[in-house]
This record gives sequence, C-alpha cells and structure tokens, in this order.
Amino acid sequence: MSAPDTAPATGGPARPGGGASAAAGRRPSGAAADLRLLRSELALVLSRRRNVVMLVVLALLTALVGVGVDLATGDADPGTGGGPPFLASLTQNGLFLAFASLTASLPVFLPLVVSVVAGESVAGEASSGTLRYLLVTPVDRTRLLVTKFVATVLYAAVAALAIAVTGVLVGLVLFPVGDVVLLSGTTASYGEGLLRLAAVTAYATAMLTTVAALGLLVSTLTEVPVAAMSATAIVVVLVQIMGQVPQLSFLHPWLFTDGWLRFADLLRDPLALGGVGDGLLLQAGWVVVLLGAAWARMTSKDVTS
Amino acid sequence: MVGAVPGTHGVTGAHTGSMRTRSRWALAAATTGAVVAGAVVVPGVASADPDLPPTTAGQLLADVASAQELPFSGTVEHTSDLGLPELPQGQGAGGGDLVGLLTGTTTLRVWSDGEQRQRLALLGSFSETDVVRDGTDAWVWRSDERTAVHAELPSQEQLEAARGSAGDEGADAPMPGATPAEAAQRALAALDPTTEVLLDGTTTVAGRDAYDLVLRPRSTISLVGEVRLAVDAETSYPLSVQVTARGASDPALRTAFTDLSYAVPDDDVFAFTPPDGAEVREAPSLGAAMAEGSVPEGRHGASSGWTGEGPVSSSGRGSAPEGAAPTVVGEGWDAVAVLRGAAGGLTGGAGDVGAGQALLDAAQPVSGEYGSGRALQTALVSVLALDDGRVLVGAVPTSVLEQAALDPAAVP
Repeated sequence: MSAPDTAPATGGPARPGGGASAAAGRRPSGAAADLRLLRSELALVLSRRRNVVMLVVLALLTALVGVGVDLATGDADPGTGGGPPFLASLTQNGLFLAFASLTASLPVFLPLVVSVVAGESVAGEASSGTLRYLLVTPVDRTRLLVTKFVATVLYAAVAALAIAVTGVLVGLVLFPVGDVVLLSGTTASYGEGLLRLAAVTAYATAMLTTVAALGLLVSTLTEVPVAAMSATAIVVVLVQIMGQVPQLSFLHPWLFTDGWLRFADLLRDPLALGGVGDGLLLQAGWVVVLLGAAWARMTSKDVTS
Repeated sequence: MVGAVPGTHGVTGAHTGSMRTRSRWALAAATTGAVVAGAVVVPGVASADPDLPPTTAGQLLADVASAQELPFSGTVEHTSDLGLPELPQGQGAGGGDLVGLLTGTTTLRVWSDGEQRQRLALLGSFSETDVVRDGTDAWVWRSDERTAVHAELPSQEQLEAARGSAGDEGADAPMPGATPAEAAQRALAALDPTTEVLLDGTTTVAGRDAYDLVLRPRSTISLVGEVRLAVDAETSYPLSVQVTARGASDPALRTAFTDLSYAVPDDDVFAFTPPDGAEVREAPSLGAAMAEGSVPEGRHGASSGWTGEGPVSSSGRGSAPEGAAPTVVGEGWDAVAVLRGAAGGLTGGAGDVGAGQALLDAAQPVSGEYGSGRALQTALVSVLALDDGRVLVGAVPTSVLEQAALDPAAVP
C-alpha cells in the first residue's frame, strides 16, 4: 500500500466536480451540509460528459420522432389506431409528442440512462479510488448512500424533463397546438394539458426510482462500474420480459415494471388515480427493499481501493 | 491493491467485522420482510368476513330484484378465463376494446345518477372506450379511432308504453305491492325448478359488507357449475358476479367492483361533446353504435353479433329480416339459442377481423346429420356455426348443440 491516507490533494486521482472539496473540511452537520453534499454530488453527475450526452440523445430522439411523423403525415391516415400509443393524436396536437416520446422511452431508454448513472455512483468512485478519500472525510456512509440515491433520482427527473420539454417545443414548431383531447373524449385547455404532462413526467420519474435503487445496490457490490451498469440494465430488461410471459402472471403484480405505463390514467377525465397510486406504492416498496440492501452492503463493506 | 486502508476503517467502524455485517443485513432482511408482509397481509386482513344480520336466500333474491336505483360511481374489474386463445388486439388498445372483454382482465369505470344518466368507460392501457347516456342521448367514444357515434334512445314514456303493450310479460317480476316475505317466496319459487339457491356466508367487496349468494344449476348437462353473487348488505346491489364452470375451482368469469361509492357523481361526467377532429357518426340504436364503434371502417358487415339485436343478414347491416329472432331449444340452463342468417358465422360476433380469425382457428370443423360447420367450446359457452347460416349458442357442450341443431324448432 503506497497510497497516502491523508488528504486527497496529495495523491491519487482527484474527484472531479469538486465533490471531495465540498465534503471535506469540518464535520458537516444539519440540513445545510446535506444539501451541500447533494449539490456537489448532483454537479458531479451532471458535469460528467457521458451523462450530458445521454440527455442530448434523449432530446434528439424525441425531436426525431416529431420530424419523422411530420414527414410521414402526407401519406398516413391519422387516427387509424395503429402504431405506438399517442402517435396518432400527434397530428392533431403537438403536445402529444411529449406523451408519445415518454411512453416510448420509459421501457428502455430512460432505465438505461438511469442504470448508467446509478451503476457508476458507488462503483465508479471505488474503481477510480476516490471512494476511500470521500470516506476519510467525515461523511457518514448512510448519508453518502442516500445522497447518491437522491442525485440519481434527480438525474432521472432531468432526463424525463428533457424528453417532455423537447416534446413540447418540437410539437409547438411542427404541429398544431390548442385544446387537448383527453383519452375520455373530453377537451381540456392547453394549460391543463401541460399540467397533466408535468404529472406524467413526475410519474415517469417515480417509476425510475426502483432502477436507481437497484443500480445503487449493484454498484455497492462491485468495483467495476461497467459491470454495475450492465447488470442493472439487464435486470430491468429481464423483469420486463418476465412481465410478458403469461405463465408468470401470478408474479406480474409484484414486478417493479408492472405499473410503469399506467400513467395513461393521468390522461383520463375524471382522473383515475387508483392505478397510479398502486404503481407508486409498488415502487416505494421496492425502493425500501433495495435501498435497505444497498445500505447493509455499503455500511459493512471494506473499502479497499 | 491489497488490504484495506487503515484510515477508512476508522471513519465508519466497519472494522468490527462480521457481527456488524450480520446485523446490518439482518436489518435489511427485516425491512424486506415488513414490506412483503405489508403487501400481502394487509389486503387479506381487510377482507375478513364481516358479521351481518341473518337473512335467507329467498329474501336476498327479492331484495336484489326490488333494489332501488341509487346513484353510484366505481371501478369494476372484469376477468375472463374462458379458455379462448389470446385474441389479437390493436397495439394501442391493450384491453380498451369490447373484444377485450372476452379474454384477460379489463378495468371499467362506471357512473350512474340512479336515473337517466349513466356512463361506462373501458380502460385500455393507452386508450379508452366510453359509453355515455344522458337521457335520450347516447354516445360511444373510442379514443384510438377518434370516433364518436351518437344514438337516440327511446324516452321513458316510450319505454313505458312499450312495456304496457307487452301485456303480462312483466307478471314474473316481483310485484311492488307484495310483502317482502311473499316476494322472497315468489323469487325462490321461480328459480327452484332449475336452480339450487343458497346463502354462503358473508364477504367484503370493494370495502363493503356483502352476502354471498350462490346459484347452482340443477341441470347435469350445463357447463355452468355455479354462479356466485356478492350482494351489498345495505343497498342490495350486486357487487360481484363469479361464474364457475362445472368441475372447475376458479371462476371462468369474474366481474367485481374494486372501488365503489354511492355519492352522486359530478354532472360533468355525463356530459359528452364530441371533441374537435373526431369523426362523428349517427347510429340507429345504442347496440348498433357500440358495434359500429368497435369495428374498423369498412368491416361493418362482420359486426352482426355485437348489436345484441339478433342476427343481421350479411347483405346489409340493420336490415334484419322479419322472423329472424332467435329460437330457443331446451329449457333453463340447458337452453340453446338458434340464430339464423348470421352468415358471418363465428367471425360474426368478434367485432374485429383479426380476433374473429383467431376464434375461427380455435374452432373445430364438425359435420353430421345436421350439416357441417365449425364448433367452439369454451369453459362456459359453446358455439356451433353451421354452413347453412345457423349459429347455435348455449351454456352446454357442443354435442348438445349438435343435437339441438336437429330439433324441429331449429331447422333452417
């Protein structure tokens, strides 16, 4: 062992984004310190080039869907019912680009980017050797874990927002805007449509909390970030496949992907909140279980690198 | 790297080793246990059988028949396990389709003001089919096709006039003047020859206390094993219906409220204005409107079975020839309905060509003295579609349908 065990500045790779500097210093206490730690963690996540590129790709995908539909409108018969959900409504109202893109991204793209960020969170620091420096400073492991979880969830929110905002903007440019026809055939104002989009975005973020917790757990089990990322993504895909197998139908209500696409209920009138509530409760259950395991692992493991 | 950095150990005290590790994992496991217990046990506790004042099966039957119309709103879950093949559905539909009621689980929302206004919404994963009735106006809205079909309904006076002219048809219904005991007796007596009626304890449905009423066919032929109703102890509304096939342990059909309130629904719920950009059509009746809504454009010829108004000749929708009303062969639970002129055969009732084809593929070709055709037996209902245009339907095995096809009353 040649690495010094004192200040991070004297050797070893520096923690980018100023994470270590904010966490270092006097023993932090109270909410202000928590917030400082979270801010530094979030800055770290959002400044990583890979994470920014993923956000840009999500936005580009959304724009691409809009342009594609716009080009195809000439020969497509609107309202035939086929194709991905909400896409048929797109030619009537641009706001549906945001709904269609969120629906299309939630099963694969969004969990993938959250897997990358969550998988990186602990394993990345362990592999680059910054984790032990972070822990030398008086930062409680539990607090560090919670901070990383919250930062990952916030990143998920930013990713969902990137899709929603791009959808709204591209929709404004390419398609007619105005009153929104809800699934129940009721007409709502554009403002109410935006409110409902905000609710859908929040629900999509909530659905990604389990992925974040799962990624965090896997991340505490390995020091190879890529392994943590791919393992998380694979589990998410596997669970969705299980959700498609009729022989496993007894398991379906308990799979964390079960309620993912239930946000269509937020586009009904009157609002149907039963299914949405069940979806949120299921996520909460999974998050508690997975974070509990991640906490047990994090607070008991030997940090050796 | 080999070994741990001493400094990191000092920080959080992971040094204490395996005992600490074990206690941490034990705590995590306990949390998991608590979550699982919460998810599995809590709903179980809530549905413990309630204590209700004693009643009789006959009394309950009479109560159901004479229950007052109340305003209500709620959510209904409908599950079909008839042994049908998975029916193809439009990708966006995912159950929000009338055909979807035949297989799998469908969620419906229902509202009623207890009088002239009702609404029913079939929830698909990304679509919705609404049937709204506001007095004499009825609308069928389908979000995935953006169609709104309007139908004019007969007014209350017209209905009463029609009922009056039907003469003593209504004599079987419990008379309002009869005492509860008489009504109970009468209801039981009407059913007794064909059906064993018994009370089977109490239950809870959608958070409401209910009596479990079981109707068991005395027939040894019928595919139906038993029909189980949960009757609201307070309002006598049926809260759930389960139909179990003979010899089966799980119900083949189950419709139950998952959520129910007797509060008066908002007026907005019953108001429907077709949104801009929707295709608005007119239909002669609500049944036709529902059929029209569920069939893609240009395929209306195949929609006969859904109208609920008897068979429709393939030559034209809505022009059912006189005298084409279904003939009934057999009695009670063994009754077989014979529809004539439904040339669409088994595809006729499917409402969707894709689903119809799937049903047709599941049907076995049959032939005999009665002719030839295709037969399909599900857990509860059998269908025999003959090449001569007759379609026989009943809650009996297909062999009984084949015999019924030979019945003089059923000849083409």
